[in-house]
Amino acid sequence: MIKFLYWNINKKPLTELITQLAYKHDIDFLILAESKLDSAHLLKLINSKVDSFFSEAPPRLGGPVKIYSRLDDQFIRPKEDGRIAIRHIKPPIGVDFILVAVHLPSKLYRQAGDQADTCRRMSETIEEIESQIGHTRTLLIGDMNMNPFEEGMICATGVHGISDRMTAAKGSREVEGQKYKFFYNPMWSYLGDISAGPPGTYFYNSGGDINFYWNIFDQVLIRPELLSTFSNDSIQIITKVGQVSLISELGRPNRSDGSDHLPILLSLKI
Amino acid sequence: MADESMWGNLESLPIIETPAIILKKQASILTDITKNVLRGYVKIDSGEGGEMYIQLYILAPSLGEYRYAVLSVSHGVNMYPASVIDNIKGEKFNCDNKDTLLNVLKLILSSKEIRNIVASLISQSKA
Repeated sequence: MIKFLYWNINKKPLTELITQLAYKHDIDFLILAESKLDSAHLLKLINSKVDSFFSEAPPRLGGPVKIYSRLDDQFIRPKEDGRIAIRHIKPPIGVDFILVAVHLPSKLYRQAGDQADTCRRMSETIEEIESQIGHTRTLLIGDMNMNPFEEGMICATGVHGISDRMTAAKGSREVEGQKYKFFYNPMWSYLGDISAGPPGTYFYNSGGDINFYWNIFDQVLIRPELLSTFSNDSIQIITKVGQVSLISELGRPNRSDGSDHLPILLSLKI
Repeated sequence: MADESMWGNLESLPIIETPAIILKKQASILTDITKNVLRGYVKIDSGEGGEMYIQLYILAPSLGEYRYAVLSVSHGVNMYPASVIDNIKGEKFNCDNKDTLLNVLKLILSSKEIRNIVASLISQSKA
């Protein structure tokens, strides 16, 4: 079992909470976005709590998305960094897979069309790396700054993240003679208050005519080839760390003690 | 009349240094300076409506073709205004002309962050 924790920490000094999360949930991969934390200090604290040694995943160049792991460097092959961080993970036991961790541009600076363009280019990059490595056992995780139903996330030329596991399991579909691979996006099911857990991962009252209030910007998506390692109950949106609630009394992300985003936890049976 | 060129004198048209050419030159300079230990790499993508999207990468061949996407430039058919996104800081710059673009590129490429990335990749490539 490999466990991943993704959290956009909104530049907050959340070292203590992150350490508790890593310890409590026995995390293997810790992925942070909008982190201004000093990696050395964070790792020192985490390593004082957990059994095995955490380090920043190679090549340790920093960037918008930071990946820390308890896997030794020899099991992590860096492929790309920038807005998208891609690593080829070859664990000592189990199948190898491709980890794509992202923090896509905010809606504050982009229009829907720009976001869709970003997704199209990201998909091309992912396919390029998949083709280079020779398989599509890919996990995409991150703050997409889009909901699962938005153009960039659902379009065949974009992420192509389907809400239905059975459809996604078909692998791909053809549009105008071109084949487009699916991702399965389980996060569709986590939007709204009927699902277990909070109604989303990010709350924003835009005050506009269209106002979603809750959004599920933080998502995990799985390629069909990796689906056998994923069960639908293996995702959790975390709302509490020790005694600290990440949800305020108003029922929204607690920006005072936590971040404006809630962390997501995922495990794969690898 | 129909056989004669109505295009005017196209032979004297100036060769314009496009943002893609500018980035390719910087990519080539990186390759030369690092004596091929690192390679500059430019990826060009055309979008709908004539929009060009140009991404500048630092590529480390001896680290399994690892690449770092440093910045991207996007522009329409007229080239300017062009927007530059600094991938490390997440900042966006709008450039109304070539001079502004050159200044922005210089600001990003000579930044402390890029210097550290280049230094680290060279060290790891030689290890």
